[in-house]
Amino acid sequence: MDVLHSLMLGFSVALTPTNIFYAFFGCIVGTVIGVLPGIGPLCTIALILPTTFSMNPTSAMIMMCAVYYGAQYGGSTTSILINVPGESASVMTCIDGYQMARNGRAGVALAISGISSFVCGTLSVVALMLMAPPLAKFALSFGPPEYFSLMLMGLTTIVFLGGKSIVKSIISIILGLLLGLIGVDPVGGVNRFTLGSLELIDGIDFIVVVMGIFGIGEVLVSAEERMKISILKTKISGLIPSLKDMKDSIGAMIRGFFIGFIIGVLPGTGATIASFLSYATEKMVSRHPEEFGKGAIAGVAGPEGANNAAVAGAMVPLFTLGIPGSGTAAVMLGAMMMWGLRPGPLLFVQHPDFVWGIIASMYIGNIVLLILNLPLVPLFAAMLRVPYSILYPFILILCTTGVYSLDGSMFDVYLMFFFGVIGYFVKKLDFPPAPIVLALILGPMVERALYQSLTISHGSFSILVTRPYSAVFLVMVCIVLTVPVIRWWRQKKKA
Amino acid sequence: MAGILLLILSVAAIVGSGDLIYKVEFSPGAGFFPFWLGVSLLILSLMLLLKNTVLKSPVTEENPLPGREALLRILSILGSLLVGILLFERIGFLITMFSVVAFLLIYLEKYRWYSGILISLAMVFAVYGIFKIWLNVPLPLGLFHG
Repeated sequence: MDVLHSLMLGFSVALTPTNIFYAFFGCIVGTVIGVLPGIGPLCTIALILPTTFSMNPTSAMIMMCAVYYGAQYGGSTTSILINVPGESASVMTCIDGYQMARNGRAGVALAISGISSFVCGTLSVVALMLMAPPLAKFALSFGPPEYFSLMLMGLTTIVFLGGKSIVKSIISIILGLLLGLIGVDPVGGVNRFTLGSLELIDGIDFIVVVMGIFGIGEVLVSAEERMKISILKTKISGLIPSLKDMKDSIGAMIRGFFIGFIIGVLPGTGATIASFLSYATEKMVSRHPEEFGKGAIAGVAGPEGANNAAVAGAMVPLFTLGIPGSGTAAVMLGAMMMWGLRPGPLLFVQHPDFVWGIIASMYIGNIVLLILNLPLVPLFAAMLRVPYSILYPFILILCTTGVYSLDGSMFDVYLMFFFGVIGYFVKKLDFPPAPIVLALILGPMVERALYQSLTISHGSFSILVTRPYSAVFLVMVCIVLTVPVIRWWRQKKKA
Repeated sequence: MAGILLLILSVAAIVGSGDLIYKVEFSPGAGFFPFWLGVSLLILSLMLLLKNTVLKSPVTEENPLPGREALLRILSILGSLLVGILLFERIGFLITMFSVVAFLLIYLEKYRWYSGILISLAMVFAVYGIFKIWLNVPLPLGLFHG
């Protein structure tokens, strides 16, 4: 009853004309950037952040969330029609989605990905709604040691599930943590790594890093290979999937929901990994694994559902613990802090209208997106005719202006340029870029939690092990860290 | 390539330990965190370097370096952006951003000059509209301000 009551409060917030408008607007922006290759939700949310300073935080967050899950809907369109993922979480959709389109089933593929996104998106909002409040209540008992261990666990799960190489993932994280050190240290007030520059005392703004790496850096990588986009010249017809299609994909949807939501909840892992795992699972459980890669409908329904479920999943640790579940959620966390909200378990108590308004608006947004995506798919597909040669100069000036608008500081703009070059090399050398952002935002929080813990215990590290929850998290860290070692050892034994 | 990387990384580590003066106080000081980050980074980068050179089994496949033509493209994009942001405050948002976009479209992407100019104008005014008119962000107007 309590949940229903809160949800009613949420809908009373989400259904005001302003908030409906922002949810709708966010859905459209999300779908558009999802469709356009080369710009993803992480960069977009950082880009629209400066526009939200004069807005009510609830409306702003409603818009950001809508962009986030809207991008998961839109990303599938390019994957299916031109075999280019609109954003990273749609990579797996390319495999079977594009094959379906080549077999003349583009309409069905688009429809099933829309339906699957809707089903899993909605289910995961229900799960978020039921899971978050008790978790928040539980987390109220957490002190600095628990937070430190929990964040450490988050950072290690990125390593475990994050990229192709563990060493490179850890390096990305450490790079992010090092960037987070710049500025006044959170405890003693000493300047660190500021190189005597006044501008660096406040630290490096994460927006600058995001726009550099994900905006400018991405443009450089894509500009290198002139994109030869050829839209499949099939008519998008037969949008309504047959009963058999539905039967073939319903299982994949449900599994996609569970995988996506759980992966989303785990701190540090997001939609991309969820869709990879879902695809692998579908291939494993399928009775016709040989169909995968040749246009299996489950290979579209599973990953597309999973990446949507992961979005709501990522909101669970963000709202209850103040720990981001993915790179994009990390940017949202930064945004919440900029608006003066303190993310964490108290959010449900102090700002119920904020949290529940967003949850309620996610129901609305999913319906909006289903409507937007099914009949309007040809319209969004037409947007693909906008050539990248027009798109990338636009991204360049948007990022430049966006960074300048933060503070009116040219120093930030130069810094963004610098991170653009860094971002290019990060991608070229195959380091995962998202952990850098995540670690940059988490870094100061981790450090502060550690110092506070050690101050409580008068400098003894035993406090991290003697507090039961903290100990449990640390044991999990150890387990996560030993799994790859065991795997490596086994492989070596075999060889 | 990984060698250059190592160099940068170990420099970061050294700078980290240079800050170490603050290490031991009542509880760990400002140098504690940077020091351990630097040390772990040093170990990791050594691992990376060892695998790439001695063991000849790179950790992951690195993407090939750009060819001559691609490199030129990247450099022209970076160069025009750099010139643009260096002049940004001096001659103003409208002119610099317009020139950057027009240069990229006409010179690099081989648009006809009139369509290049039209697209750049539309783009710059769209961004101007969002930031200056809608959001009221003070953008440098430069020459237009006198």
